[in-house]
Amino acid sequence: MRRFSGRSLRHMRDTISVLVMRDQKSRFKSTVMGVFWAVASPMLFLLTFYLLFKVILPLQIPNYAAHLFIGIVVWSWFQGATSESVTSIVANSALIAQPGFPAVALPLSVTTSHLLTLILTLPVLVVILLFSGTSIGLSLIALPVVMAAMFIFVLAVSYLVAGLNVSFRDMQYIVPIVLQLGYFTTPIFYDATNLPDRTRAVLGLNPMLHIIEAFRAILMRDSWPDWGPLSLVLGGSLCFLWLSQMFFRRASLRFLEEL
Amino acid sequence: MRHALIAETIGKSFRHRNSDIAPTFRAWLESGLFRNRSEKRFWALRDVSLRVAPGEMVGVIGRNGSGKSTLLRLLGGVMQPDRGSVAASDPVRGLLQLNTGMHPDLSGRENVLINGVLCGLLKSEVQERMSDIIAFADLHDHIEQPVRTYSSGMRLRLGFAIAVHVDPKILLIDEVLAVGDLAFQGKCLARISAFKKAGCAIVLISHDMHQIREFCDRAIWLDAGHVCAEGLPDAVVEAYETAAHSAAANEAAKAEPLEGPNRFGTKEVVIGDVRLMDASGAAIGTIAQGDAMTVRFRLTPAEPTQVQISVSIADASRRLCFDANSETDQIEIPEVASGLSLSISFARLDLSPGTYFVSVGVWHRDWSKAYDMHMDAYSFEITGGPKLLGVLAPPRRWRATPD
Repeated sequence: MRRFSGRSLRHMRDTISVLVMRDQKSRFKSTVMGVFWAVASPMLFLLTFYLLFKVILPLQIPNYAAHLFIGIVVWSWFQGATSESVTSIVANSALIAQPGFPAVALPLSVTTSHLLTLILTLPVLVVILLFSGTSIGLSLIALPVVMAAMFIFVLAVSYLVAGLNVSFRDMQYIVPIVLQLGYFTTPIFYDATNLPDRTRAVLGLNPMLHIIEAFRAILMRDSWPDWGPLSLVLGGSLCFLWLSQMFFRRASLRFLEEL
Repeated sequence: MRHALIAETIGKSFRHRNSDIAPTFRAWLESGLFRNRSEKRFWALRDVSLRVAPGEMVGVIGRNGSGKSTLLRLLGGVMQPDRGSVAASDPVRGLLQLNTGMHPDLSGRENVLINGVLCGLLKSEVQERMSDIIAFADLHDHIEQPVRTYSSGMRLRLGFAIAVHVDPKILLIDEVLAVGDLAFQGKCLARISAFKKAGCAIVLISHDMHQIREFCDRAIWLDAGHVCAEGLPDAVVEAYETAAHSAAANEAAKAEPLEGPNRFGTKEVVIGDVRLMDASGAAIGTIAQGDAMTVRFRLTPAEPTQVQISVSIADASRRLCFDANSETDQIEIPEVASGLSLSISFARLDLSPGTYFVSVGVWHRDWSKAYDMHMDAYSFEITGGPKLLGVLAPPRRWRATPD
């Protein structure tokens, strides 16, 4: 009935692009320090954890600064995108009521915008990597694959929580709690390879563990990521995304009634 | 004729919400565990059909909550009907809420790009129209300033300028034509007329009956989700206004105590139970031109007091038509001890048809302070006779005598 294909795809692309632009520009225009904040927050976490686990309670992890920073910025993408997506529909009810506005663009633009924030921290990451004397090399070509897998996973979670929150507002309280737990069950400031096998097997159910380890393998050791679990994450995320976007599309027919 | 927008016996029902609390898991669990078979739903819209041809403008009128906005949402495809179907030949565009996607910290130009895309244009299309939009909004060099520095009028102009540059084939308008200064309103209406001439199908929600009469080809009157009347704008508007007036009469009969900004005074003596009545003593909301009317009210003092009273009548634009008080009319008001009923009767009100407002006041005996003043608080309608520009409509006789 309402199909206006080709153009609607291009419009979708433009919608995401302006929403991401609005998000990024507004963040950096309304503050004095601008872009600095994208870097400052992970830097502060880096300092805190570094002090805690290098000086006060030393963990035996080589290149700890790089190890930490990768964990922090990768997790920030996941945390930022999902915690913003959960309220993205409720907070944009006026857009949802706009004829022709594609609701599916909202979680997608949030996920993309937080990827951009991650990219902004890359120069700092490079500096840290250079100082810690790690080797970067050929394995870098695997990085886009890891990022794509993570993008798909983050997007799938975003669609799920965004869709759910319209009907069940409890989601916006549950998600931050789950994210907080995730901070400790994901090897951000510790190293999961040191853990007992049993614990590792349980924590390994968390896709973010494999994603962060893949980032570290590539960026810190110039080695190929562990393809086994990574392909599971990729395949699983694809299925998850397919299901969660279907759920989101179905839920979106009733968004306005619930808002 | 091929229609641009067709709604076929559409209906939409909503759940009754028990409270304002947003839905929660708890409610979901409860409804899942103890599945409530008799979940109450009400029909916000029922059995409404509408066909709009290219170049046609249909007005939708009705009280608040009559289903107008629901109808627009269904037509816009942002809500799905529970019954019936909606079909559109082209993408539907909306002039609903302006400035929905604007960000106050970004410049006018950046916001044009954002809002243009959110209104349905491609980025390249917004860029092409950028200078037209800026010119239409009359913002000139302000366009590089952040929108937060704009006055509310400037923001509205910008929002409108973007919205009317989408060149729609099907356009839904919800009450937004009442914004901005008159000159800008005229510009917007001209633009919408141009769309119509170019073959755009338009559905307009408005409370401004003048707009409906002047611009629409047809009108629909919705009441409680049903189509009450449909047809030529003049006929539908007339039917709607007549019904609205009798509803107002029912309201008047209730004589609720008044609170709010229209009431002021020290309340040492309070006015209550204000009624507008016809010659037979029945409460009224409408009287025919030249009929009698009585304004009756009660005074209740905190302690016995000497007072002055005033009664006035103003028209819809708050132009004073009548104003008299106990001093001008040399009425001796007895000391108000426990309670006092007062009334003023007009043998005939020869006023031009329209809405009028009655003010009633009770004052200190030397007018130094108001005890209780109900400002323009009670409305009535004068019907019958031709609509005149002036206030007065006395009985009159014309005579033409050849020399």
